[in-house]
Amino acid sequence: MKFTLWPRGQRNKELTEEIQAHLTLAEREAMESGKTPREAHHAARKEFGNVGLAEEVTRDAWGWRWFEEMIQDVRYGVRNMLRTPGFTVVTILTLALGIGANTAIFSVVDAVLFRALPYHDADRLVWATNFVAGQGQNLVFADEYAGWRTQNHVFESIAAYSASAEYTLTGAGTPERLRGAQVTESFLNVLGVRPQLGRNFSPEEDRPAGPKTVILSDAIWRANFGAAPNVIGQVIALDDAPYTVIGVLPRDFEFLDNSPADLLVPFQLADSSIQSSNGRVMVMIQPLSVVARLRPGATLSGALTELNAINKRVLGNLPVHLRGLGDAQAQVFLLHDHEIGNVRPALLVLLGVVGFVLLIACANVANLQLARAAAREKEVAIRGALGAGRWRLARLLLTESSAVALVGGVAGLLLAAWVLRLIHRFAPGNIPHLHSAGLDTRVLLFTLGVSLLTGILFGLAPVLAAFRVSLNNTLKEGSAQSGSGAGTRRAQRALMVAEIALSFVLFIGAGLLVKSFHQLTAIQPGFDPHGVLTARVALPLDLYQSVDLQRNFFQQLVERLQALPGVASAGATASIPLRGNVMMSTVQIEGQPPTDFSSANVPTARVNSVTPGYFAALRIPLIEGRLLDARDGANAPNSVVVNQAFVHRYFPNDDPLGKRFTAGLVPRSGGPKLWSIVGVIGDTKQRGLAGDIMPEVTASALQWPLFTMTLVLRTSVEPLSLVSAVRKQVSHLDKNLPLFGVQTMDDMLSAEVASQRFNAGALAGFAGLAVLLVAVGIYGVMAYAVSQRTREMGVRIALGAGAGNVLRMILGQGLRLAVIGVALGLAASFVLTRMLSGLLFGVKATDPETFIFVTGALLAVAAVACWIPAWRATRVDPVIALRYE
Amino acid sequence: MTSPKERYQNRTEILQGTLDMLILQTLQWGPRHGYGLSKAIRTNSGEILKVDTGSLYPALHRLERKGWIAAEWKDSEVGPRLRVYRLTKSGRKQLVSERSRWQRITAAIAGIMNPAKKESES
Repeated sequence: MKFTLWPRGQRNKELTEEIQAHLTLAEREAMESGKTPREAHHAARKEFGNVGLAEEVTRDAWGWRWFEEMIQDVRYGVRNMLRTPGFTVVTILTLALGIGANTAIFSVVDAVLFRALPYHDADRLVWATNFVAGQGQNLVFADEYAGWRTQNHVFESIAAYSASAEYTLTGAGTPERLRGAQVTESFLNVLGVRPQLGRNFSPEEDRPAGPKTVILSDAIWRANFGAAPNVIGQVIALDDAPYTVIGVLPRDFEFLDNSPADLLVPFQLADSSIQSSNGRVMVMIQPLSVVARLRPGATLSGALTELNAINKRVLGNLPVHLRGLGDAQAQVFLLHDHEIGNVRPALLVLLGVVGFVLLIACANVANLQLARAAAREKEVAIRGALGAGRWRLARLLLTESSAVALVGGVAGLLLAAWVLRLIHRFAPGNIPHLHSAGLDTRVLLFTLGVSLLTGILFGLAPVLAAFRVSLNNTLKEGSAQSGSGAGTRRAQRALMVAEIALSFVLFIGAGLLVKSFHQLTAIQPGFDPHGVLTARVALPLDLYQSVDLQRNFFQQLVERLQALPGVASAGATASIPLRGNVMMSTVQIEGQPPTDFSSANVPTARVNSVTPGYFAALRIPLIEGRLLDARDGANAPNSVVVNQAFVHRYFPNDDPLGKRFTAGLVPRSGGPKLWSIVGVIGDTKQRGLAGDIMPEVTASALQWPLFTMTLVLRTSVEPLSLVSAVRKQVSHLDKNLPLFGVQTMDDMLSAEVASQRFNAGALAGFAGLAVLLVAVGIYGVMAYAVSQRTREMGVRIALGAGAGNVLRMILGQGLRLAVIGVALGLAASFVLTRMLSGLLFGVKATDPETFIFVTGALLAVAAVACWIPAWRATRVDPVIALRYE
Repeated sequence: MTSPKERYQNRTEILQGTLDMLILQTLQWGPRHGYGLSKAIRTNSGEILKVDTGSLYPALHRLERKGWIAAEWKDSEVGPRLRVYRLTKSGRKQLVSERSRWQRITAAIAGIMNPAKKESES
């Protein structure tokens, strides 16, 4: 098909010329056959027929008609918009709010949920683990991984990794603590990633006691090694041990579990966790994560069956007393599900919420359009009478509404850019790939689509109204105040009820999440977090091999910190409340029957080691007995304090003080292995605010020294102002030691509730927006209804109706609709809030308090929105009203 | 609710298939302008077929858009410049298929109008 792109005017001129030439030739021939010029002229014209019509029909053949008409319609629509600027601004703002909210949330959902993970053939990647019911957690032993690796038939490749390693890099600028990941040599192959420089680990490098090699991340390579290509083969110091750099990861590489990795080192994992030394069997329990690539055609359920079968075989080889730990149920997830599974519900809820907001915006605008359509009935009728077909009229109205929606869409984009900035600032750190959310092409296309769809959706209402317009009646009524038909009024009311129902659901959702957030923040963590600085120090084991060195270092450091001006009390702890690394131990209480390790309920406790100043620094209360102090020195009897949960579980009816037990705490060499309880302290939250409190044993760092500690300082000044002073004290003792993980306890607590705060904030924001839109909508509908009935009001007032009567009548009408809307919303909420249950804390999805509050609040909003036009109606002057026509 | 223009279009609808074929067929003998075409069709049909000029130009422009004919402005010695149409390669192909379609239709119509002949055939 040829498409001519000449300017329209040129082509029109040529068509006229062509037809004129035809007429000229016909005229000339008529003259040749003996007619007078005048007769010839008329004959030619007569034979040709209607020249204008012929031209028009010819132009249609060019195939431009629809385009031309659309331009006409758009021009007409724009003129219409400019004629009623107030109306237009409200419409565009409403649409901008709806479309903007959707654009922003879609860009997040698209980046986080919809995009494939940045690995080769990512949909065949799975994440596998074992769930150990007795421990209530996921645990994969080296034995099980070895079994999976060698015996499976479902995976093309399989790898283990652990992202919890940390290393101190020295010799490249100031000492720095880096986050490392231990990975098996197959790790990068499973993901389908190649180093941008150098090579992957070789199998020889991934054996126990193999050579120390490292692959750097692109960021570290650039920051610490100036992006030098000759970094390959260089030897760098990690924890004061020499590692050879063999590769650099690609720039866009992302490690798993949303945890950044500065470097990779080979796992050098033994095939068995069980090692015997000096006749004692030791079990190394290292948290393993497993990622694998399914063979083509293999399924998740097939993989699950096989891993469970392998588990059984492997468990048969474990020593009897360990089988209790190993009652493992394999779990296999798509890697994508594993990576985003925990944020998916919240994001889908948000997507649904903004969808609701858009529907409300649409209903609102549709209502405005209906009110205007009523005023335009006459125009529509005249157009119909002049020969415009129904579809032509529908197209005119839909083009108009789409043009409005597109303008709204552009305004929405601006709003979305702003909302995205807010999201990037306030979103919790646990949303993977969030950083890549932005207004890219996909999002722009989405916005365009949503805008057009919106235009059609709200444009339909006036179109349907126009279809019902009866030409005769409208033209006959002849007055400016023809009034909208009963159909239009019904449509407006239905839209209003729908809006109220939708906003009710949103309001309920927001209410539930806000209440959850309050429940969560109301939890007492068991310590006083205000004005506390925390920071970590890790001693390299190669240089601090003996426990005496470790003890002396931290003892000296804490003494020096205590002496700093601005420090009220200083302490150190092996694990910090809320998110410390969890050390668990079995517990054997003196005088009780020996532990049955094959049972699912082996007595265990969390173990910790602190310097005496720790309790004062966090203001952890003493319940009974005494705290650990200088008396519990290296050579004193082994003493511990336990928490209330420990007492509750192991001494429900006894006095715990003076009781003794053995546990996996390794005392100074040669000392007695029994620990006696000297005091009971208050419970502190160990695993997040919402987590259960485990029985806990706290020993003194003087008796059970460890090499990685978190410093805890209660300060009398702004906590972060002391960081450099603390850093100076650390490097005074060892200039190669970095201070890392600096954070105030307040910030840690706040990060703890970041997800809930974000969810509650986002939903409250959108629900607030929805309620605002609904209030405007109700007001609009009622005000319009009142204006349509000005005359009736006048008559009523003239006949003696009091202001109270009129007020009550109009309020009653509005509120009746509001009640219907709320009732529908209530029914919908009971169903829909169930989707929220995974996001709630301490609140049921059908929390009566929230439901009652929201019902009341929404009815109040509706009442106010109705009251204003109702009050206006009472002010109608009967004389003016009756003359209104 | 049909506008005058729609009624007008309906009439061209009916003629369209045949008119297109006639135009293509006539152009086979050489390029012609619109007036020449209408005259040629009239003359060649023994003054029976009179081309409605209101249909002729839409048809010409439609055929041009489909690429079956091409147009060119030519100065004429007698006066106004003339838009002259000629058959293109794809137009020639189209003519062949139109012609065979036409023959099938006339044969079919003949069969209906002359049932005796049909019986003798079977």
